[in-house]
Amino acid sequence: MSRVKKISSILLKVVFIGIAVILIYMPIVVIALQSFNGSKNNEIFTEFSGKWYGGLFYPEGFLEGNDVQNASDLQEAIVNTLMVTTLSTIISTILGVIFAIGIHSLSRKKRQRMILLNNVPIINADIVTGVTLMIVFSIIFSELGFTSLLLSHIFFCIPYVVLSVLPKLSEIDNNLYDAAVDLGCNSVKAIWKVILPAIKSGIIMGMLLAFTMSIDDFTISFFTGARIFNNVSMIVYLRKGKALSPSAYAYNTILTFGILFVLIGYNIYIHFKNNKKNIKNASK
Amino acid sequence: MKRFSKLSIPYLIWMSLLVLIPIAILIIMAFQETKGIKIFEGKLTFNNFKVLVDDYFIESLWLSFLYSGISTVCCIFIAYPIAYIIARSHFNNRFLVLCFLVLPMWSNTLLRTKAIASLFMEGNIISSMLAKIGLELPTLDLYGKPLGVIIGMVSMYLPFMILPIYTVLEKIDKSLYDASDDLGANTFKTFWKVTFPLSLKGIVTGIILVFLPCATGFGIAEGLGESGLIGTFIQQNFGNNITYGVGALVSIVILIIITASLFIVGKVDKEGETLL
Amino acid sequence: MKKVILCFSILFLSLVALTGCKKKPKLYLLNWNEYLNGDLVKKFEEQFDCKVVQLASESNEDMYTVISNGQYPVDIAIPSDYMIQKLANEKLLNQLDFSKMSNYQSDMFDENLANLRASYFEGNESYAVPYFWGTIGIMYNDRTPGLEEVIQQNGWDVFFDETLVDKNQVKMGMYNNPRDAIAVAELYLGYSLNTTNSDELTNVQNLLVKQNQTFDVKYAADDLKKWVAGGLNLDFAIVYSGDFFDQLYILEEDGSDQYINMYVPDNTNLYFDAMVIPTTSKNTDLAYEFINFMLDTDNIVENVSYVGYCPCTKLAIEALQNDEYYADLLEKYPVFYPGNTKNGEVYRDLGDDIYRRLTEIYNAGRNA
Repeated sequence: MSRVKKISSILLKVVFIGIAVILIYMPIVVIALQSFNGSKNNEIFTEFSGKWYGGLFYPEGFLEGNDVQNASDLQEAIVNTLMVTTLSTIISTILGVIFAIGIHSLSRKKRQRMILLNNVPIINADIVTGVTLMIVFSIIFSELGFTSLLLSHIFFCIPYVVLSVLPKLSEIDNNLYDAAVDLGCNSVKAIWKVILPAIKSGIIMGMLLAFTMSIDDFTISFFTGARIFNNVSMIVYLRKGKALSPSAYAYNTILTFGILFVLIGYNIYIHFKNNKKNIKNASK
Repeated sequence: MKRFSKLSIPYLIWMSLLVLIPIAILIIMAFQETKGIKIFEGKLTFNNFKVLVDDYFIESLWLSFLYSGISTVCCIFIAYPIAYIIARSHFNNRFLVLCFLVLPMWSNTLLRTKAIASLFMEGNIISSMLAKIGLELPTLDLYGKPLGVIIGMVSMYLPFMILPIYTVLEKIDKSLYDASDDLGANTFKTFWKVTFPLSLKGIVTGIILVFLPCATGFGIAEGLGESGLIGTFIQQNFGNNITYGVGALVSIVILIIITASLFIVGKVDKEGETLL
Repeated sequence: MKKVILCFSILFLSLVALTGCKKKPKLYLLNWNEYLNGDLVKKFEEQFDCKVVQLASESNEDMYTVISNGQYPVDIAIPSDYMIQKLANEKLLNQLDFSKMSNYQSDMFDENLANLRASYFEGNESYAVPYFWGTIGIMYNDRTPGLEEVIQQNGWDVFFDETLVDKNQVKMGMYNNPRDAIAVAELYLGYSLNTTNSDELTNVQNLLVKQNQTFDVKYAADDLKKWVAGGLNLDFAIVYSGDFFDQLYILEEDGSDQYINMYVPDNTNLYFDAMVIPTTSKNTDLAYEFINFMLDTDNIVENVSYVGYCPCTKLAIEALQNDEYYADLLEKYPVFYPGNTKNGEVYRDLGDDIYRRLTEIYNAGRNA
């Protein structure tokens, strides 16, 4: 009886996880299939081809005609995207941590108000954020471009970092910092040596979220300068026909599946390494 | 640590500059007939407010809430068991779970939407590949149909529901379960009396993170053939230069709705602990 | 330590910003997607030692927004007829000095186009130099047998008449911009494409609503041509003539045997896109060089091989007729040359109020 129960519970788990995996990964599987398609018309599979992956790194060598130009446009956009995303992730992580420490040390009432303000960009409609930023930036800058794009990305990334770091800050013992200062650290050193290690997991989480939001942003970028400083979403949005190099599919496949496989592989490797160690230790 | 409170001042200035001033500009714009963003040359008018009683506007607002409400409920029913299974399993590599949920979002939203849309039509890459080896799949004729839009929304936003629920479930002290067991509660009772109340925060956060973008976004629904939602309406108004006032007014309506939901979050979760 | 990181990132930032603005002059080009051969851009950049920054756009209204908001220093834009009229009326365009363009001759354009242009701008042609021209038409495939004859005999009626096609069988596509979607209904009803009569517009709205309720209609933009060419998702759709040839070239490249064709009824919309220099331009001399460059016959022919629209100059059309591939194409697909249309009407700028009304009609029809 209990065996039946066990099996059915496992079955139920498999079904649920299966539904989730299918729902979340179905579109990416389709993108991956399209990336191996020989034709530019992504609904019709002509032949298996890896040329779009080649075109991602070296267009001249793998593609012909106008595809070369399209792929190198895409390359430029990928470089732009990665540049904006990396910069905005780094900057917003640093600033976010600083601000979070600041917000954490506010009085309760003020803190709640700041958190409310902090949440606005997260849950506001993207298009409203985009338009409002455009309005402010067109007053500040004479023309939109890289700087305004980067600023807007930093703007919507910081709140995620702040939100991920705050709970970790409230988990640490307030005396920890005081103890460090008593032991002769100056305040910067105390933060560096004591606080930061304690909130490390929150920082990593915030960084990951900031990166995720930035790399895939379209709506806000559209209004704040991506027209000149093209990023990948912009290219995908505007080039609906043949000028969209299918290397874009290859890029997205690598971005999701490539990194996922590397991560899983690494974890399995670590797992086995630890197991081996354990077995060795046990045999000793 | 009080002395670090100064560190939050630049953030306050920065956020005021980029959140509060634009809202003020939007409010000014709502009372104007402008050419694009040139608010200093606009004419004062109340015509924009006609949109609030416009059938099309009301209908699209209602439709947006309907779609995103259904999608959110679906998300909860799918996400909760999954978060529960992962949190109660022996698999405790949090980082890997996180990556598994976050990495799909690194792929371009527009391409993902198009990929889903293509699956809802007869001609798509999978059917074309299967046709090569002589197989034929039944067509899911869902493009532009409500069911298709909802499946698409759930597919795109499911991670945003799993993540917060998983976060709270994982934080629950495992010894609570043991205590509940010891006190004679069965699995279901333990869940209902211990786990579920403690995970409510995560669900509320998930609802906010799924419901609002579903209701106000335009890319996903539009890509799936549904263009009657409020996001598309705003986009249309900001997409040409003569209706910025209407766009601004509708944005303000959206903002009010969002602020209201922020207060709900504030009631449940004062410290913003679980928004993520 | 953190300050060090901060300093470094600021340094890096300013470095990036610096390398961003190289010394080469920049030409900001506001253009449609897939509307300029990339090789030509390279050639132009090499010839004039500059960088062409392309701002892509998806609609005339979008171009108008970009130009009139003035957030980007657009040097050249390529909007369509009615938008040029609107931009010129609002004093957002520079008058062109034709003497600065050595390739320009007043009689260089195809006669049909020249007449059109003269009657359209009525002596006010000096704002724009034509780039490409085309028509809208019905692109179809052979998914449903017998459809080709029905389309060729009935033209626009296939979009609305239940007696012509099986409403459970056919799938049709409409452009997802107000002007073109409404044009189809107006052509069917026999109204002018520039009608502002409110009764007529109400009829148009009712017709579009009824169409969407009766048939399987998909509203989309560039996906339409792909879906027709794919042969499964649509039977026929309204497309721009250039889009049809675009898709034809891709099918040829793939070696596909999918059948597609295009039919342009006698009553249709005729349009031309033209290069203009907006008042936002900061690099006007380079802008003139660009227009001049794009008037060179060899360059036009090279551009046609990528874009799929019909060129505007006599010499370029002649060059195509002498080319074996294009001579064949022109014979097989007469729709390539818009001058063949008997009764083409050009859109005109109808003012903001009518534009709002058109958007309303379009929304009602599309979401019915």
